[in-house]
Amino acid sequence: MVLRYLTTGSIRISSLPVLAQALKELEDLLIRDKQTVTRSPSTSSQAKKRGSANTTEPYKRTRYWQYASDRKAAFAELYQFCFMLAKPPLVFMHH
Amino acid sequence: MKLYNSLVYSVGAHLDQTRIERVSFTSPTVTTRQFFLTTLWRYSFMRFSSLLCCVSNTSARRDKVDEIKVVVRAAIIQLYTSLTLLLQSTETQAASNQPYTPQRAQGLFNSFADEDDRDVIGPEGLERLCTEADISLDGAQPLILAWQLKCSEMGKFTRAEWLHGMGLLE
Repeated sequence: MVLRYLTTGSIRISSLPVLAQALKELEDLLIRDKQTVTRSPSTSSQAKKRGSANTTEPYKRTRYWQYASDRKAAFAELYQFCFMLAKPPLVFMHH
Repeated sequence: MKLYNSLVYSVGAHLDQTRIERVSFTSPTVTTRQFFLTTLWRYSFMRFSSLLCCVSNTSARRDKVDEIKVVVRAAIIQLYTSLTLLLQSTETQAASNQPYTPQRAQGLFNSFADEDDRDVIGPEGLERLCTEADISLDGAQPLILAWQLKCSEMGKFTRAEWLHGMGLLE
């Protein structure tokens, strides 16, 4: 479950305002439990079927939609990550 | 718009009373600010010319000129501030409209990379990044960023983590 999202691709961001927007959207989704952002028309299933290019989204929201489909699992993954990040490194005592 | 109309009126009224009051912008939109400045300039110059015509006494006239100078100076400062804000908002808009490219992702990393080690964004770089992106360091967003980039160390991003996370190695 933890590794579920690790192979879903990157978010494709190369500017600061877009990065800030992406982080805010993820925070709203996972921490503040707000409603998801509105899907742009080009990412709808019809658009995907037509194979049209995604030109309206500021960044690639593939991960976002995966998190939105199972918020609990995504939050658990974030929590686990933070826990591992904050955990002090193990020190082995040799006697 | 009512507020700005009243501000313009207020400046005009103060010019009539030969008294200057600081005009403050709260958070106007660019369009409103532009409207306000244009109106202010038009109104001020109309008043200046009429003031100079009416005053006959030399010393009184000098006083009027001094006051006009102060008004012009204040207006120039306001204009400069407004133009700076306008430029900043335009730049921000342009940056947010830029599509993703690996080069831009590299450039973004480089602009926050440590002086000592160009392959790492350290705590100072992270703090600067958060400040410029208007992200609170106390909130969850820096942690979410670390999660998205799969960082291995707290408060530190390596170039590989950044580029992988942002899409270069997709």
